[in-house]
Amino acid sequence: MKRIIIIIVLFVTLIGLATFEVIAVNNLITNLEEMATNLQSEITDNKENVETTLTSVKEVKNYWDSFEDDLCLMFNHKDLSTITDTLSRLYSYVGNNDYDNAIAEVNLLKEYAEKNRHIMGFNIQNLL
Amino acid sequence: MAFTLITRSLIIYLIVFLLLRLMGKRQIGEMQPFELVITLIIADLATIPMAETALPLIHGIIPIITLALIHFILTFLSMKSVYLRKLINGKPVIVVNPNGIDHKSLKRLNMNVNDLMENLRGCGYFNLEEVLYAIMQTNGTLTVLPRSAYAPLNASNVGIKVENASLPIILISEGKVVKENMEIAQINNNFLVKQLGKVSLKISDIFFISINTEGKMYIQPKTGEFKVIETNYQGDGKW
Repeated sequence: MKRIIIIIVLFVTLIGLATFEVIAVNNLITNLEEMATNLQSEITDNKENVETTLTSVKEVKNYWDSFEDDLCLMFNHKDLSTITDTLSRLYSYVGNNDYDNAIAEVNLLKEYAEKNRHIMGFNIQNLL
Repeated sequence: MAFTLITRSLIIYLIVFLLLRLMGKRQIGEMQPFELVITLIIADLATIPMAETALPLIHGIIPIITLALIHFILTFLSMKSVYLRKLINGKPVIVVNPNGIDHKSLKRLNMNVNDLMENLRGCGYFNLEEVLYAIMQTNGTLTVLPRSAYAPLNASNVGIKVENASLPIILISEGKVVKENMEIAQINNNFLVKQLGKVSLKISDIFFISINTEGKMYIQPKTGEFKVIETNYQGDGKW
């Protein structure tokens, strides 16, 4: 009986952890991608108003920072710092009116987000 | 960083320690093949997140827990089903029978005659003619049934009446009275003092004392030779 209880507890814990991770990571990355897409159009369409764009970048950065500590429990810390660095560079480029590089950083951000979704996902490439 | 490493090592150690305790007390040489594989992988997995601080600790813990889970399931299945037990653990193989060495069985086990002889010598049999059966158990140990002429003599063979064996219980260990055992054996301090008085010793002089159900007390003083005394104690042996 004791053994069955241990098996059930371990199984439920593992499935619970895995499910939580899949849902949490998916939600976060989807939100980040949406924010990056909005940011991309804002940078392209709103080149004159630096302050508004900077505020938007700051919002994305704050959103990311608020989750980064929690994500350390699931992600490789090096992958997380890549996204943090990209956001910092993006903020700096927008502040200096360097829109070409800013757009490049937004694209990188989207790429990293997609890459992390793939790395953290349950798919055949990760299985094999 | 050092504090992080210390803490991570402690956490991993505690988890692995707890899981290995739950997995049972078998020694490495007594493990079934699947148990040995799981133990080796767990040991290897545990070291990765311990030193690599960029990796979340959970990346090390989840595989370890998964392996422990597999272990529990396989053990559970092998307990519940004879068929699955054979499938998971294999079955014992007779390598020496009354006709001699079964070389086909040896070949199936990837063993050669030297391995067999080494194992037999380990069991105390240096000549094959002494062995009636030798069986390779599922955990890799060899057990031997000797031919009657070479089997060790015991009291029943020669018709000698011997005292029943009795289980001793430790009353003082490394100079400390084991109160739990004193209660189990229903022995008090006065009894101990009285018995020690017979050999002119005090409790503080003692390194080790055990008593068996027949009342025979083994006394090992901190200095000097051990003594065995007969007492009037009669235990029920329920310890």
